[in-house]
Amino acid sequence: MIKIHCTNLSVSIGNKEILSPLNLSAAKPQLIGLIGPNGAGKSTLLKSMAGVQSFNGRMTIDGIDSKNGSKKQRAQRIAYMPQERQVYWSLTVEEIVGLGRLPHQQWPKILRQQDRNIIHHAMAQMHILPFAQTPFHILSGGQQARVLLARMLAQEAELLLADEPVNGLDPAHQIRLMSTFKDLAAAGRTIIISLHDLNLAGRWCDRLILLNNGECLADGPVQDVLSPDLLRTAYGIEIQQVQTDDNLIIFPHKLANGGAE
Amino acid sequence: MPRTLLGAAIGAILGLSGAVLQGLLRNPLAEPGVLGINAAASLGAVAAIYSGLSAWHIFALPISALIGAGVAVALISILVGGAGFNILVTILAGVALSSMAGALTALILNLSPDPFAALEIVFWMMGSLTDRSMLHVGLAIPFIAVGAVLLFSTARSLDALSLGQDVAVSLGVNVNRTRLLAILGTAIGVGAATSVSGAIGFVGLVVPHILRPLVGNRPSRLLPVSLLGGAAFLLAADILVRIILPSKDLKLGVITALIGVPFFIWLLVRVRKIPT
Repeated sequence: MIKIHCTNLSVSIGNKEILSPLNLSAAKPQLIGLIGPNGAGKSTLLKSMAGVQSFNGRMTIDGIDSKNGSKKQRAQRIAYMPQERQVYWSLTVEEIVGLGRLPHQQWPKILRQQDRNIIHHAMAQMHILPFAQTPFHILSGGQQARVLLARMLAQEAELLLADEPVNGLDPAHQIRLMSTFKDLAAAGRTIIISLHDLNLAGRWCDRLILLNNGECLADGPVQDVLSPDLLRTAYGIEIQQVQTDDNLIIFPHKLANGGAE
Repeated sequence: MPRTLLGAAIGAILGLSGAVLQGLLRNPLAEPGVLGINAAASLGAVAAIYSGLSAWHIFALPISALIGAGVAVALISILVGGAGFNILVTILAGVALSSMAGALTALILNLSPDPFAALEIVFWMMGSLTDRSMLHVGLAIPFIAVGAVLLFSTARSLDALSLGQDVAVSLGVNVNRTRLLAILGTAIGVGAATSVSGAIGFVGLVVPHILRPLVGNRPSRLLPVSLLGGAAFLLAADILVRIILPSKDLKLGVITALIGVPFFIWLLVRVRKIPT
């Protein structure tokens, strides 16, 4: 289990502050949803935690400053999947999933039997074994998403960061991916994903973080964060809520204030 | 014998660096020429011929070409270094450098008082392996070997870069170091190659593309076969040179370009067809 603490984490690009200093802890296995309008800073926050974006402030991994450890050590514990499902050079599915082993490989970086078993298992978990030798670019969007997720699984990281992983997927694939994340959280991983679909966020996540204009507007249990007031402030929308036996259904039905920004 | 050794080594480093640069820049049209290293090495060599240094000592020309390649690397590093790693900036910097070196070479040709010197320069720029001695082998091969080692060390990092720079970084790859190794390796290896053979184009572009359908797209698997494939390609071209018109001393660079350019055009057409 990994314990992440961010203290006064902020990001500025040029003179523009993308993320205002925010504090964030992820200290137990959970599926955490990161929500907020476009440009709220969701991607930047995920990139900062992944070590891809430089930031001010402090992030600790199990109490140790993240800037102290090596990139390789961090990569063994934190996996990251960007929003774009882009793969240059159409590698095969197995080759892509195999890259997840990179942080664990020693020189000369040849895959050992143990690595091969982990790659096989990750592909089996995402049901992509039948396309192991297929070039990535001829797969459908849903299959590609599963391949890239299998790559993260093969990395065997304790913290998984995924930027809009369900973007562009059909409802069945969305459910498949979200339930995989849920299972991973139950198995002891911490997962942070950014989402635009508030109903998916409400249905699957254990905890939500609502960002707006680079600031953390709310952080807590699903029903607290998905409140009409908070969503109005963040998105400028009015919502209708329906509580069924199992689910909280959120229907954004109009812009707040007649659409004045 | 020196001709064969040099042909194999030069073809190998051109093929290898082409494969590495295509992986690094994630661009199928990349080759050592895009960094301007050929052009800068040529400029160094041309300056040596023009100034008469090349007539003074056999090594003056290759060393001058190596210095040209070195200056090119320094300039590329300065131009690219400040901006973080940006593929477009790297390619544009290479194009700028290449144009500048080309313009200066043209200027030297322009100012050349002696038509024979001008002819020598033009012939040298076409690339050739004719009349090279073991001295040339001894001068070029150590640099080519060092370049090849540096280029090979980037193999797995290039694999990770296939998933984009952000994912590569998140997988623990030091992207700046990879870029430095690739550019340095190309400069040292290709600079040394150009310094003894003149500018031989298109090997670095063509060879990886011929081999991809055979061994797959993964950069780390492509590197060793591009090394061997480059050697085979250049030796074959050099044999063609000797068979087709043995009396005319046909230039090697002419043959590789004659094969390479139609291939390049075919590649452009194919790339255009792939929906993005």
